[in-house]
Amino acid sequence: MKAKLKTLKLGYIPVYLILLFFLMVTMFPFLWILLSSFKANAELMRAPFSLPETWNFSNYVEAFRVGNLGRLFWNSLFVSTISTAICILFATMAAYAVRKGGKWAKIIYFTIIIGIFLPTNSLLVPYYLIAAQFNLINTPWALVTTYMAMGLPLTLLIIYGFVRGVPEEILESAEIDGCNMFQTYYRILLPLVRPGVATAAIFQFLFSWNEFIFALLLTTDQSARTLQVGISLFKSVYQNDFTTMFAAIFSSLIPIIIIYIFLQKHIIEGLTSGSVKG
Amino acid sequence: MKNKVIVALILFLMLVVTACSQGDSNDTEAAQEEHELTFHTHYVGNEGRAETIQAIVDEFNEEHEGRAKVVIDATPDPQTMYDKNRTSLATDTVADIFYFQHNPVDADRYYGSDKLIDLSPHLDDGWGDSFSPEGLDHGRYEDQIMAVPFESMMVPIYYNTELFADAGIDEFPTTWDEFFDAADKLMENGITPIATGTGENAWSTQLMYSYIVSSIAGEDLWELELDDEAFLEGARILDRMFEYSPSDAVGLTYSSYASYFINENAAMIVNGPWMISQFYEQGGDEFAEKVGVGTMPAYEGGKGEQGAVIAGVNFVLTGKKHEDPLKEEMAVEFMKYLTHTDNAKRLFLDSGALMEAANFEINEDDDADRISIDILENLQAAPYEFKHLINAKSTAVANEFPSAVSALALGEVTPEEFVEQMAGVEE
Amino acid sequence: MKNKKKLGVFLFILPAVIVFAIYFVYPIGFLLFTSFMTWDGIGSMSFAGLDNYEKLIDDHVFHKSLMNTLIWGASAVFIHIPLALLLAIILSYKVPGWKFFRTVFFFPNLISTLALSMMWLFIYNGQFGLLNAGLEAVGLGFLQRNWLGEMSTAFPALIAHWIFYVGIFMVIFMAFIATIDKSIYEAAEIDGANIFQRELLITIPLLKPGIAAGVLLAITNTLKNFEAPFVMTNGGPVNETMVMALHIYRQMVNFDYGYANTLAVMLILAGGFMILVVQLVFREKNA
Repeated sequence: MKAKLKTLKLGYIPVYLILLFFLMVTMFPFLWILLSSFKANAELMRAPFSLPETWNFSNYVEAFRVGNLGRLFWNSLFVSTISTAICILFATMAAYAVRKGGKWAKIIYFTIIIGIFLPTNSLLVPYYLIAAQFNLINTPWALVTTYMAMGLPLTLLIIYGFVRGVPEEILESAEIDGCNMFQTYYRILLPLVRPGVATAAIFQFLFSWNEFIFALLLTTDQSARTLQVGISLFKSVYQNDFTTMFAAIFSSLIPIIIIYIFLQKHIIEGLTSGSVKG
Repeated sequence: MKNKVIVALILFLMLVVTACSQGDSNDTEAAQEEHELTFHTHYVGNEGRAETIQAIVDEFNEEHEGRAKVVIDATPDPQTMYDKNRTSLATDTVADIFYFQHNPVDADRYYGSDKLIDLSPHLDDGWGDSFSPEGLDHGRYEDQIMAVPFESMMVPIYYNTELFADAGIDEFPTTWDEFFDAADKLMENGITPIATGTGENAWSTQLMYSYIVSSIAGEDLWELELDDEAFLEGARILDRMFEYSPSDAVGLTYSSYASYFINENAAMIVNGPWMISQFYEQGGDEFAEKVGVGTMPAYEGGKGEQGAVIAGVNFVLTGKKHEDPLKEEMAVEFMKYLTHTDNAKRLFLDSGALMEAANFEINEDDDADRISIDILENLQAAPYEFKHLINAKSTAVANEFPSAVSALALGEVTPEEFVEQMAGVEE
Repeated sequence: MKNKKKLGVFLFILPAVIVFAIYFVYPIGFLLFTSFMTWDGIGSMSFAGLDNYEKLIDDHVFHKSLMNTLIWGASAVFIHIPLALLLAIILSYKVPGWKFFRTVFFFPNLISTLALSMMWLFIYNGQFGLLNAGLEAVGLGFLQRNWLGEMSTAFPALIAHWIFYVGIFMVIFMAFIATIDKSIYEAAEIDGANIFQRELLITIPLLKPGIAAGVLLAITNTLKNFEAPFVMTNGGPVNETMVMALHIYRQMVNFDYGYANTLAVMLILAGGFMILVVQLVFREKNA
């Protein structure tokens, strides 16, 4: 790759113009939310894009007092992590089975894929009934199971795309070497499809992290609610406390960004390591 | 390397699990003996009434320790709260105590569901007397009372007295002709006369439309068809009103046009008493002192009378049907407590909210704000009261309004087509 | 041996099947069933036959929302994904600061849709919005408008707010590019291929599986898109920005669950159709 740098030199100006443009549109929300979180509501409405007149931390105090963000953060992390872990486990197992299985396994695969397009709002009533049936209402497990299930079809779709690309010889040679199905799955297949796992995990985690309506519907108090519900405490149609909400949003972003930067290396490594193409 | 990642992840997961499970254990065990009741409300977070409601719940819990414990199920956005109520009704898990925005068409869906508590046996011991008979009618279904009036509203036309004075307008217009004259003067001063928008449920716009039509058709406007001549004339006036609205009125959301009024870019806004706390908190005392309370201008030759106001029951309080008579007793006990005159008065003094059972008196030494008092006086002086569109018509009609009125404002449809479209939804 | 394999396959697919049976067979059955009913979501149902499906024919808001949903999906495929690809290719050259850009471009994907949508409300606002102020500043004041309130600009503006947040796909594509064998490029260079030819003729074809995954993910995201239009325009003005998911929600709020679920069935069919198209397009040369 290094060799190519030389060739690119002429193109640096347009390249950086493109990068700067994207830097602007992506950093903008972040900075704007940060700056707004120090303003008073009236000031935000009067001059939404100026620097704060005074740097006022009271919004943060208010956000933590009313929103109970600390507790909600742990709930969010718990729900997102566990639902992602279970979802990935089930999906990789199923993808392997579809790969190994006959026609009926393929039929099951295509049937499950249809689930991707169930619109969230149409699922409110059925999913509530299911969670109530298993006695999970107002526990984090209601959200774990629901998110896991909602994400399963998409996760399976992504991961099967990778599993399909694993050369047959590799799987066969593992079996000849005496690996049973579980060993082949764990030792051979999983490492090979790590890019797929990483891709799917990012999607599933962010979906769980940002989901709002089920988090609200399936829980009634702070012991089980997630950050998105906490943030929504500051937004209602007739009473908008934007600046406190932005303080809450920004507070909730810090940990996830730290986690992302910390895990980025592993995520990227996961994405690149598999090299299905051999 | 790979193993390290897995080990790290597992450790991380365990950390999370323990962190979460520790927190869970404290709340669950205590409430074995007493009946736990959920109260689903949007008076939470930074809402003007949140602290008072929380205090009322705490006091109730203290008084009924060992017998009942009310837990707040918080859903800050009213629209989301209705969504959650609907879903939980469909799934038979509705909160023990909740309220909803009343309209005569859809209220019967709730009442007829056979999932709500019948309050009629509980109203005899004096509780029923704290409500007006008309108020109680909102909860009547066949021979039962399924809900009691909870929050009322009086929706005035707030105006900025200073901006009016600067434009040479001495008092709030009493006819629509005067209204548009005043609006012209404000425009000359570079002020947007009326803060309104068609985003979300087009809240202030539908209030304005209700005011205009009532000035033409009088008290019983909602008994007419939506494409009646009165509504057509109302649509023409509303269409004209958009010339005096913010330039970005189409699609403008409540928080934006409300801020136009609070930041003194706009001179008038139609809205309920819950806005008073925003006047004080966001605009400051100096601004709040400028806010005047206006009522309906008259339409020449119309049946409506100047000074009439949009008012009446907005929310009705109800709850889940119970098998256990003791639990039902406790749920009713809380409803009585919540709607008690003393607590209604507290909510009024703290936030300007008008709760039904408003037969309390305001004394000299009560710390009531000036705007709330003005509203109350205007309400008492009003020749009649009427409902706004959202409280009078079905949800389907209310939901059609923002889209239809945007088309009207953009000139995509004529007033004739607008009223036809509205009438078409009602069927 | 054969039986053992069958048992293994069965055991491996079982958890997913159980989850699917509980969380999808039941809701899909429920949707299908209620789509033939008149139901307000609270009281009892009554059989409506094909009434709800006949309603689809005359419901111009449904037509509009279907059209908008498809346009949004198309913009995901033809603008969103290519932009992600462009950035991925640029950053894969490891231009100075590439790690910083890679991290930062991902940030908007960490922020909830709700927060982003609210910010864009402020940007597009007709009176104090940033976009209008910016146009004014560079002398293009005549272009100022109420972006989300005018029929001609509302839907493009709604799509545009999201189209540059490509970080998630960029990261995925970068990962795929990193797996490409470098010797292929060297061979191309010897053959005299310039940088554009190289990317167009080598990288992109080799990225095909990654692009296929990206396209599918982007389409699924956009088809179910609800929050952004709900917060920013609520379908307005005059249903100009109505999308399927929002139209479904509207019917539920109106206590018409039967028709809402009929629309949901339509959305599933539309999604299935798009998956099929993507599979066909990308299978062709892959096989």
